[in-house]
Amino acid sequence: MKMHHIFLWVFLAVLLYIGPGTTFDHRIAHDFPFGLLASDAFQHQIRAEFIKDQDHYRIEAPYTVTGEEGIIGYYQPILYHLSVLWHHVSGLPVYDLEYLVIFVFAIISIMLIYDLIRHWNQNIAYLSIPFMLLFFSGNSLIGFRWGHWPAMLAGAFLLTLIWALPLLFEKGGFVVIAILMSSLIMSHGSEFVFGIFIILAFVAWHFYHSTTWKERAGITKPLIFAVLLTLLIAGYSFIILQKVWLAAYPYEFKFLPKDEGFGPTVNLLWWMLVILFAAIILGLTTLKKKIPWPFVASVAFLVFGYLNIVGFGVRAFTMRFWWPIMLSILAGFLLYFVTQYFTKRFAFFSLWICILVSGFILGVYWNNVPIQGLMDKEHWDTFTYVAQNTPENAKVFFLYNPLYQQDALLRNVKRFHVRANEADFVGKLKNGTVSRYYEAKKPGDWGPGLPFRTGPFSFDTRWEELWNTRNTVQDLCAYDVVILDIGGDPQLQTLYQYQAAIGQAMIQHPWIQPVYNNKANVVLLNSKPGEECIAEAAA
Amino acid sequence: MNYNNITEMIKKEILSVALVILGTIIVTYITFYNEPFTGILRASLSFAWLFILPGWFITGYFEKLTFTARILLGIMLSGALVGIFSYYLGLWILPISKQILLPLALILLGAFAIAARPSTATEYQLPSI
Repeated sequence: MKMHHIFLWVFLAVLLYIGPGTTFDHRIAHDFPFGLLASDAFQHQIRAEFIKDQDHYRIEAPYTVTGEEGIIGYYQPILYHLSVLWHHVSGLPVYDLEYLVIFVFAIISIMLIYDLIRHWNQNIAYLSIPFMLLFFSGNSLIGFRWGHWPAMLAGAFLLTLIWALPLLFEKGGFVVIAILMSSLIMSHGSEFVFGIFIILAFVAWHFYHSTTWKERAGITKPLIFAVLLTLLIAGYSFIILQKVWLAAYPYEFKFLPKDEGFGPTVNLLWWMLVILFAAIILGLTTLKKKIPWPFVASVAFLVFGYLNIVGFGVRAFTMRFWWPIMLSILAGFLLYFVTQYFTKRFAFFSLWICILVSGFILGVYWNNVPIQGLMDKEHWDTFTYVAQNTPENAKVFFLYNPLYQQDALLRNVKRFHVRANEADFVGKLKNGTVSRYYEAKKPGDWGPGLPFRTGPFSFDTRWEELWNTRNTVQDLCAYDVVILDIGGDPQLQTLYQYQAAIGQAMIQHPWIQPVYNNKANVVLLNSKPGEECIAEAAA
Repeated sequence: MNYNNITEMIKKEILSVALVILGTIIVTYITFYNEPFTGILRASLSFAWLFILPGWFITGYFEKLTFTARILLGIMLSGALVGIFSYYLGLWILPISKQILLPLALILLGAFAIAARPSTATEYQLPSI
């Protein structure tokens, strides 16, 4: 085994350790979905779970789309299928493998970018690595923890596309490009648009480097074949992308200077921008006609991250998650330029710099820690109990808990469900009123508007007729299952006592029985939904 | 079709692939040290079956690529193809739980491409009389 191979294994081990290893508390399988910090993460977790249960992805789970049947499986499918199939082969939990898949593919794509830089200049490749390590730190981790999962997987395919584009000049290389472009369409549509931009950048770079028009035109045939093959492979998904997603979210120019509503993203301080521009100017002036493709791709990614100011809105912010990887090329180039006197004279100088700076960055800036996330064992056990022990058409009522604001996690009961709204519930708590009527939200993934198929190439949506039914007053007694929160957070004791009082009132009736309880919840089963189950009274 | 291409590739690289799989197990073990060893094996070997082995064959067509590049690219391409084919098969033909042998289909596809690869070696010419 060569030194370089050993280095690659060490690099892989470090990335795995600081990324998924630490995020998952150095375990692969957990007793419940671990490390998910936002509703979106649970949206993807439960979708994979449903696809596993029904063994295909023709439709969305009714319990994820407010109880509606026949909603087509509209999300880009690759992430879910990878997770479910990996589960079937390994026997490990789907929710763990889905999270692991995006980390692993991100890491492989990072190693491909390292390989791409290395073919340009090994020293620059070594000097880029310390900056790449920032990928598993700070706001870049938001992409993983807050559930930008399909976008992160698509980003990994996008980086692979950057590596693979030179294969267009090899016989059969267009097949690789077509597979990767298809994977972008079928993992997250907005990255497909950036894939097109990257290809345009590559074509421009090829034109710049070519000396004859015949040479320039040489890229045309493989590109055309790649486009045709992409349409063949991903045509079905592309139709859904175009007719469902683009119909619901058409492009509109939106000047979005800050990451409002998106959540944290990676931001560059002014002096970082100065350094990057210095690297770009240095590259343009010193490399001239020999500007390598990795350099161009790095500049392209810097531009992508700022497309929020010309209408790309939040999609530009997703590209920024990859800045530690792609901008490391410029940073590594600049560092090489500054140290080349030593690099050219001392063997392994850049490798030693890499190790030292990496150690510094890991010691000072790396801040990933295992975080359990929103789910806990007790709530997971409760949801699992309901999913496994109630009729499929059972309706579930969740009383209020601040945790349930991230309501995608409630879909793990795998039943139609509503959850009490905070204002009304807390209002009644303060009044001391135990009621059978509470304002409740019908949570669900409204996504592209609950689309259903009306023909081979046509779709309609249900959101217009259903949107106003999201928040209505609901009758607790009409539900088959009522889930009470009775413990867990010391600061919510008043809430737990109120819910216990509701539960006490309900079980006065013999047809309502507590069927499950743990430290967090009590599950009440109502065998006569519709019958009076609570008389309005003081708590 | 030149099936020797396939056997030559396997003879030349099988040990390297085995070392890649062994390396995967080792780095997984180091990274996920709180995981029981059976979990490490299940994750690593299933990863090898789904992504490393099919990827090795799929990228076998491109002789000019280094072995490292082929393994890395192969994992990504295998991920893409497994996801894509699993989706379409699941929609109409074969439930996902029955698709465990899908990687084998990708291996055969890759082997076919390798066998169909145009020969780059010059053929022996009989001397003209």
